Amino acid sequence: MHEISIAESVIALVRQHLPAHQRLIRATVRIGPMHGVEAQAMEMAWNVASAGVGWSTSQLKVVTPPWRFRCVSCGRCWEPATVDEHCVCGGTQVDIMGGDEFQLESIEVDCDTGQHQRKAAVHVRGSKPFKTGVAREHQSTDC
Amino acid sequence: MSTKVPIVENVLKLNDEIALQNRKLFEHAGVFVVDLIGAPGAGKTALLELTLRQLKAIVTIGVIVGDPATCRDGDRLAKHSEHIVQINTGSGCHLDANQVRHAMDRIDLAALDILIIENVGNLICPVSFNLGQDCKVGMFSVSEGDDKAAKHPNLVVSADLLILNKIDLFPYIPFDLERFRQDVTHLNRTAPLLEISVARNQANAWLEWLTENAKREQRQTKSD
Repeated sequence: MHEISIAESVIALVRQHLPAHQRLIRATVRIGPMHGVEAQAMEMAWNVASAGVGWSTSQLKVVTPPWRFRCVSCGRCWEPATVDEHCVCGGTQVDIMGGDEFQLESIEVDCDTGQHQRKAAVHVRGSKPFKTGVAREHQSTDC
Repeated sequence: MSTKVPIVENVLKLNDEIALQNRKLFEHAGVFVVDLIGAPGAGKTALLELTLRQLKAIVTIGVIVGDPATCRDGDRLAKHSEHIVQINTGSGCHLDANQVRHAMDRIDLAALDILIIENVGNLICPVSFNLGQDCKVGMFSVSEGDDKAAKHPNLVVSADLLILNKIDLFPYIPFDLERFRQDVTHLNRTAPLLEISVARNQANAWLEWLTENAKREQRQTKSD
């Protein structure tokens, strides 16, 4: 049940970024399937952990990006249905291009006291957001 | 009215900061540090008993061992080394960098060549938590079944070394070794896979890997 530990880690991180005297409405985390975190369990863990610090009205939004592989043999990029899926070319080895994300992406705060904007502070591998509506198959090597 | 503040920071950033402090202490002491991760019953403690026994004359090894409860593993290992620290995590399913940091207060790092952190028996939760180690070692065993590497991709992807223990059980348990190997190399083609039997005292590849890396770490520390 590492969701509770992760929820507590998110709370500690949000504290560093929450502007003074502003109320947290929502924290959004992007957690790839590699980390074995189940979104519903994570949201439940957030409800427990956030209530403990007086943020019981806040929500946690868990964004789960898909696995994304690049075939070592042919360079094809695709989103496998399951993690043990091999490339259609017969190649049996892949580079992980997505699915290992583990980031606090943003927080949404009550802004009665003014606007606050911050630029992304740290670039973490795999942080590139996935576009919606992108076809599942890509022939390009640009992953 | 609300406003959105973009952040994009690793969820475990605070753990990683402590892990970095641990790493600096390990590097300063010239200790090679391994985070050993595997399921309950994979044979992690048995492997460490063998390791402490066989390498006693060559290197000094300390162990930080995590378990939800009891000092049984710590007691087993203390028969072979005076540098053993047991952590009880209660309901905690993994060790984090802060627990290791506190355990280091009870161990003489300067006396060690190698420190092995035997994580809580679990194939999922410990993998995401950096402890400041040099290498992460993932351990599977034949009795768990040949599908465990495929079902636990995080450990396979993250490991610097993978071990398959209990190969002496091949005659008794259906296990598709080729499929297991393929599942490993599918996601991680750089980590060596060592097939061993602790029960039969067949773990030389592991002992060589460990001592070679410890020597490299010491050379590195001297040159710094």
